[in-house]
Amino acid sequence: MMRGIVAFLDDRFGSNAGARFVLRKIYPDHWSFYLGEFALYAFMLLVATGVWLTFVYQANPTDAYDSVASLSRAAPIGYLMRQVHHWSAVAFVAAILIHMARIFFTAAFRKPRELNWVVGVTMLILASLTGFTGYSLPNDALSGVGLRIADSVLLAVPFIGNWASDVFTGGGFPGPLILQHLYTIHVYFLPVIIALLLSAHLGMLVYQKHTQFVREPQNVVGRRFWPDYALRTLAALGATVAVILALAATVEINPIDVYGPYKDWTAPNPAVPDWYAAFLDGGLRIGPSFEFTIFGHPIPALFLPAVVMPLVVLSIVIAWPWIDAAFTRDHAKHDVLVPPTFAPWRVGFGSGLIAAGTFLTLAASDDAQALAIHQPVQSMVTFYRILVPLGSLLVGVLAGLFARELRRRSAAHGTESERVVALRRNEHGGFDEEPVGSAL
Amino acid sequence: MALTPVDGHAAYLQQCSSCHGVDLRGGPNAPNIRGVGAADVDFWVGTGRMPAAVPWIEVGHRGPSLPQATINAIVDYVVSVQPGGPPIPLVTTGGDATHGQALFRENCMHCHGATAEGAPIGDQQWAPPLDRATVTQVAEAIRIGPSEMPVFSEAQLSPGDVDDIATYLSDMRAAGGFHGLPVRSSGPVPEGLLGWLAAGLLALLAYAFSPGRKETKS
Amino acid sequence: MTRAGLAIAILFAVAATLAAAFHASPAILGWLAAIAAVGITLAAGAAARDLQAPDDLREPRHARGPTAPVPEPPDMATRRGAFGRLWGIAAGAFAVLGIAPFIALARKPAPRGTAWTAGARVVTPDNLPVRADTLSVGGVATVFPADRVGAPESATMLIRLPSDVLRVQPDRTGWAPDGNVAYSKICTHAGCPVAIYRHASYELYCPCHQSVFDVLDAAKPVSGPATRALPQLALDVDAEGYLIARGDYTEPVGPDSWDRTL
Repeated sequence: MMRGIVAFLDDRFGSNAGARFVLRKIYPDHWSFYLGEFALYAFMLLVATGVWLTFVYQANPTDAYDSVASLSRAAPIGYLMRQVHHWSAVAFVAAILIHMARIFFTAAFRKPRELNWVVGVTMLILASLTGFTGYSLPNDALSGVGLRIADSVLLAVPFIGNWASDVFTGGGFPGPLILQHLYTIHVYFLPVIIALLLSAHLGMLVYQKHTQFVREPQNVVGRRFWPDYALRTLAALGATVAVILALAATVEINPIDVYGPYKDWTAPNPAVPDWYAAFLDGGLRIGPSFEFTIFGHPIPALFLPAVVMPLVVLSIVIAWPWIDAAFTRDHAKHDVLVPPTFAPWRVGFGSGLIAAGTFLTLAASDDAQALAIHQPVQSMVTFYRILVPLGSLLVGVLAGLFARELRRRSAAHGTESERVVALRRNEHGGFDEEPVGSAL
Repeated sequence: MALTPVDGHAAYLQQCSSCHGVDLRGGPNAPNIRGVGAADVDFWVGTGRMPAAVPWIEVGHRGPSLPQATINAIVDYVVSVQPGGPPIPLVTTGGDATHGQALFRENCMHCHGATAEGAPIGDQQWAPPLDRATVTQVAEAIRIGPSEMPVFSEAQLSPGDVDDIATYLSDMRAAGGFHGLPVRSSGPVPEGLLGWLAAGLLALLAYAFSPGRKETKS
Repeated sequence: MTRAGLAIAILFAVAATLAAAFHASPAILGWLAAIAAVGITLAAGAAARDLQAPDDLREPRHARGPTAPVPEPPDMATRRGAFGRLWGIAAGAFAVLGIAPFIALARKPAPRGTAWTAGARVVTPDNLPVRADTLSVGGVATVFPADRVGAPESATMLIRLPSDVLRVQPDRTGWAPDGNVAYSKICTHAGCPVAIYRHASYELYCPCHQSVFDVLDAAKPVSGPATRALPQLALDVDAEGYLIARGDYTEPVGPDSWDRTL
């Protein structure tokens, strides 16, 4: 039957040549290359379950909560769809970060792949935003409080803050339009943009060919898409679906029927966002209680931790390929990956940044931690104020030193050599080494 | 099982007077309990928070450490020394659980947590979980405002309202999880950890099951 | 192994479909589907191992650049300067025009007052009026203006203090009749409801970022990231003994923003 379909298409489009090209293409193979695929398949699960959910959800303040809460009491399939949707989102952003870490530490972002890095980081931000807007749609007590905080952060932006909040809410929080806006953003704008970026991401990767660990820069070394890679990626799809389904069928997520509908005079406790937004909440908790004014306009205490800090970090992360190239003074093209230990300073910087993000995320539950160890919350705040900058620095330095030590040991064993040299006969009858470049 | 009536005064002297004083006026480690009322004494002693082993550390509900007859006798004795304060409320669980849920969300959820699992309320304080409290103890706490908990008068929460809250809590306890999934959610923090576990598990599986290939690093 | 995996996948996919048709619980449904997915994973993994090429394959990487530059069409060369810049300016002008509709979406936001007016009765969320002695000492309630329960920015914490503990602020005498003091419930940090009242410490505590406000001292922030005290609502008692507001809040409620010039 498949042969019949292929012949049908080829007769009309001449597609056999293209099909042959796609199926025979060689992709390098390494276990860490599947990390991006886990994110991709989580996204597919999100789209599949999300499309179903759009038939159920009602985007107005009166009905939103009930339309989602009813999924618990109606057919169990609906409940499972919602569970899978939310768990996929939680796993999706985690998978993106793991994949991004692999890209970072193996320096796959180097020329000519800088743009792909930018596209990837953009998708990370959009995925987090999609998650935030998504779990705010049911208009439950927990997410409603988070929306209020988001609106306050928006208001804290100079010049355009009040305008932005007014447009977003339809006249001040909560406003008659906020759920509608969240819905169109979550269901249309963001997924479409993510899908387009994803196509660009994969397209660039196919066109420029995937990077590889094997040190033959002139070749791509690996296996063909068909049957090798296709079957392996199918296994990755199966594994992603299996793990997320098993989780969604076992542990309940976001029990909105317990939280109840949002009312602006109640809040659950603890009041924390989903984990990928928690670093912002942590920043708000440990941020200085300091408000200043510029020409009479207040710059609220929210501004530094919730607006400036993420923008600064995001700028550094997005611009990283160029920062990295400037730092290493290496503007050559690279198709071969660096084993992480070969660039200890990059290991150090990346580890430090990951540590900072982790500590800030942990700071979002500082009140529960304070309770657990019988300390006042203020002590935990002080602890995290020290841990986030200094602890991250320590982690970065230690990681860098550790990487450098590992590299020294492997170099001492003579197993790795990164220099490619040309040997030239000199006038004494021996050989001179002339560096040609790095094989990496 | 004692068949002779317990002497409340003697029990008080034995269990309580070392901190609360022979005259019930308290001391450096314990407040004045003259006129606190039956509900107050029954709550503190009935939940096992009193007698306190270490006076300045507040313990949670750990079950009564004295037999019920002794507790009753101590309650009667304290009330007899100086009457006043809220009596032990009469509570039923035949109320309106839906109304009780609404009341719980407006008055209790922000301290005790959405499923009454307990939550921090700053400093080193917490609003404890309500899983071990009997409905009478819940009602007593509502009326007396133990520790940092506010006091809810009958004008504010009528006995019917308290019945409704008690009904909701006992339904919630009986249902365990409401949704037929084996493990209940404990909030976004554990959910996030499990999400990372899922992603990490996938990464681990990729590493463990990557098909073997010959090392071709030159 | 491939066959076993596919058999598992088919069996459990069918089982999951049947379970769905018979309204099985989400846990059973999900696990059946998950095991079906495991079957696919096993089958694909085994097939990948069995059918894989014996060794790595190679093909050359093609340099994807740089290539020869795109030549300028000759008739553009002489008038390139003026054209280019003008086109750029035109594009910029259209971009600015394109933003205009979005700016037009927002009206200049009027400073939003609350729903509290002079003489408005203080009511519970059930719209029941509150008397000066409704709350016990040590009690707390969320209150709204009568018939405006849930109005934006209007949620207020009514707290009953023992007499003589409140530090009355110089311009706020009489605002707290009989120990009934009222503060805005909307946190001045990020707008969460400051829902937690610790009556023994006389402190309001916000669950979001742990700001603490001193109820005895005009709800000034004593710890946490909030910088501004919770505004106080002036109360009075009407002829029938019910609590009423003397007017709206005298300070802005909730978090500060750029336009809320101080």
